[in-house]
Amino acid sequence: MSRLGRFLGWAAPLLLCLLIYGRCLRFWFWADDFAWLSLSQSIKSWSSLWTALFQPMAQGTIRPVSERLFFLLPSRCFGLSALPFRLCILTTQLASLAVWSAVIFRMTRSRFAAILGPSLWVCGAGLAIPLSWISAYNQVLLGLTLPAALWFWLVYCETGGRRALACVWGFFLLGFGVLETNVVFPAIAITYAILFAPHRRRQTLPFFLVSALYTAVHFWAAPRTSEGPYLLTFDGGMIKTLWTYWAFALGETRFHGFPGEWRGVAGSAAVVVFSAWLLGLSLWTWFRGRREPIFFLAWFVILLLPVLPLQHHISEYYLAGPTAGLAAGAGTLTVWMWGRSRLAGAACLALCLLVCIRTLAVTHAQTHWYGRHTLAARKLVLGSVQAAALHPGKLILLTGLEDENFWGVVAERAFRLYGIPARLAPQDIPPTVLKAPPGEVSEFLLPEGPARFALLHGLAVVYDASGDRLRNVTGPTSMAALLSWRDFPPSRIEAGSSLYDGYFGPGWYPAEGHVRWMQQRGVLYLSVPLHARGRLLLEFTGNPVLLGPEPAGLQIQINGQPLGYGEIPSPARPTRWTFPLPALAPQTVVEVALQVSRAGPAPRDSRTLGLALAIAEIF
Amino acid sequence: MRIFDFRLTAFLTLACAASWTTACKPRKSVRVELTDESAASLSASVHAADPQTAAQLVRGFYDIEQNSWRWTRREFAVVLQTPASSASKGATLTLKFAIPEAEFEKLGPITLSASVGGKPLPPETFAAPGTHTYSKPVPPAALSAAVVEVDVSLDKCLPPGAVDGRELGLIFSSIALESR
Repeated sequence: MSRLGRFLGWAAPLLLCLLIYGRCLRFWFWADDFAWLSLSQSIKSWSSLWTALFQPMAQGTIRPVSERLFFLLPSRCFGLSALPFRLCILTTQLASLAVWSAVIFRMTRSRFAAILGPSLWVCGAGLAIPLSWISAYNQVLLGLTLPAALWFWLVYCETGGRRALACVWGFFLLGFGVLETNVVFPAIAITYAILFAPHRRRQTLPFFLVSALYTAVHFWAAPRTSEGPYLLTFDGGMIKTLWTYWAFALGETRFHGFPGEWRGVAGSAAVVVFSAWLLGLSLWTWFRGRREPIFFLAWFVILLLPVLPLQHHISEYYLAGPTAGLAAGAGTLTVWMWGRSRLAGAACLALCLLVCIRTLAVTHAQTHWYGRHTLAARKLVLGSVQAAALHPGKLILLTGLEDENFWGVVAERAFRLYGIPARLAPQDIPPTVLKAPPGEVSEFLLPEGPARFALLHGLAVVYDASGDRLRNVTGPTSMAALLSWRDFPPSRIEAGSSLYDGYFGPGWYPAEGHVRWMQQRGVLYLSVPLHARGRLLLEFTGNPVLLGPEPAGLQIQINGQPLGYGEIPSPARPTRWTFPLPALAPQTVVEVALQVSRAGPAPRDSRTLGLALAIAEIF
Repeated sequence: MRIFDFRLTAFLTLACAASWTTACKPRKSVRVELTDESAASLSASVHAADPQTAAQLVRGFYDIEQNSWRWTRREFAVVLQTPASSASKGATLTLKFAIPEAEFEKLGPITLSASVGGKPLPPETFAAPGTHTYSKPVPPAALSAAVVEVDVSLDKCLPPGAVDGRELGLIFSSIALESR
């Protein structure tokens, strides 16, 4: 093969990747991305940097390289621009493809297998979400560090070179900063050693020791959750989960209603036929002394092992690394069959292409979904930034949002990144938000009463997000507020906002900062929301004067009846209490009376101060 | 054996450079407006024939006739944007309308009362058919909100009859709040 031919061979998977995923460069941020971006704002000192890098976050994960540094560095250097992140993701994937090509070539000595394997990986179903969603970069980066470690392990197994072993260790240890799945590298190394280099089996022992140590430290630092989607369940259901991932890898998906979707029997038949072909042929070749396909299938299973106990959190992005093995296996088998018989090779190639047609349709649907929603997020957030600049000091109320916009942008506190006071207006609220438990979403909504007050007094502007760009609809919405919105107490009061002045009875000072000071006794009015769970939430800070020889207490009354009494543990620190409420009819107004056991002037404030209320909410 | 493949490294570098170059290609600096402010506020004046402000005729109006006027009921209401600085200086409410001769012959003089933001304005009696203007000063206290509802009522009107099944008040032409 000519040099140009070899070059184009190496280039094919990379060009294919650019062709399929190049459009992801235009995508923006989405969901968890906003939380990670806010990490940069939390760094004020060296100790906060340490916390930002290594404290367990987001379901107890510690991924300093692929999440913490990945979000910190570009956001510090380039601000809140998505392009540097996107470039980094795509570049990493291109590098992964090149390394994976090198691994396949080294194992099979087949240039065509080294082209076909990565090409099938790119066309497969595992990369769409990691390359579309910035927060899934950990999957992409592990897709580079693990094959790199494996490549150097192959070199070491062949040559015994110390430099190669040092590189194995380097990538192996780096992988722990990328993703927990890295703990399986020893299993990959020993599988390779058993199949191809039995004399190197003992050298894998230190890898196992390090993985065991990492696992122990990880579970010590980030204890396992006992409920929720990230609950680890070790039982027979893991087999079912493995099958689900296998089917996803072959084009099954939870996305529906997209062009090119194979439904029902056609989809299931494709999974069965391809599975039978891949597994059957791998075993057949194994018995004929070719072990590479079995190794690649083992790669698929081993990389999925850590996520199989997450039976309630099955996600397509976990397939990014594993599908590299599946694709390499299919590519290798196809090339070998081609070598034995052109007809058999062509049949294998046709089968691979058939699966690719299916997975590419899924990939297109997934990337399209992320494209549409991330660009909608961009419109929503940057439009709100412009609105805030046009109307300084005014509250931004949003209407016409889709459900996904709310959960992927508003509920992820994207506006806090830009310091924009944006909320949902109390009209056209997305359906899933209306059905959500009140305590989960109420902080993102402005109720009718305060919204009416804000609009009629020129304190807010309203933007409709349903079009191509945000449209100022303050006028029509103000008319709706005037004519039909009720000036009714909300279920949640933000005491530090003057919009809620009308719901405070006697005993309160005007709002200041994020709180409102109460005298010794204060009354406020809340409504009971639909679907309330019967809890009263209070967030407050006490007056330092409450510190004394005897503990200070807070007495709460509901509609004149005692609800409860609690001792304020640390008056000078923010306190968050919830109290169970008696049965209350929905949509009724409740009088809440608070009384502290003692009040008095604070340092540099001569007023009689009891406590500073931040939030009161019935949920 | 070489650990690093020169060609692979060279190609990888080239591919990365190509993707970065493509993505970072300078684009024309077109400022994209991310918001549309064309319908940001209501109007402080409403004409019967203006479709842009028709939504502000909130109660007591019939469909437009001959592209220029509308009949009202005995009571009708309009929502108007309050003019800038009217919360401190007040404003003038101006209602332009007509009383047809046929109606005047049946009803005689008609007294019109109005309120702005719930605050009543002095009533006025119109003792002749033809076009009229009801114009009254509005105190600042009635204009503290960004938008206000203007309620108008007549002391009498034509009840639904055989010729026209509608309750007919007056022929509305325009209404406005103007700064003083």
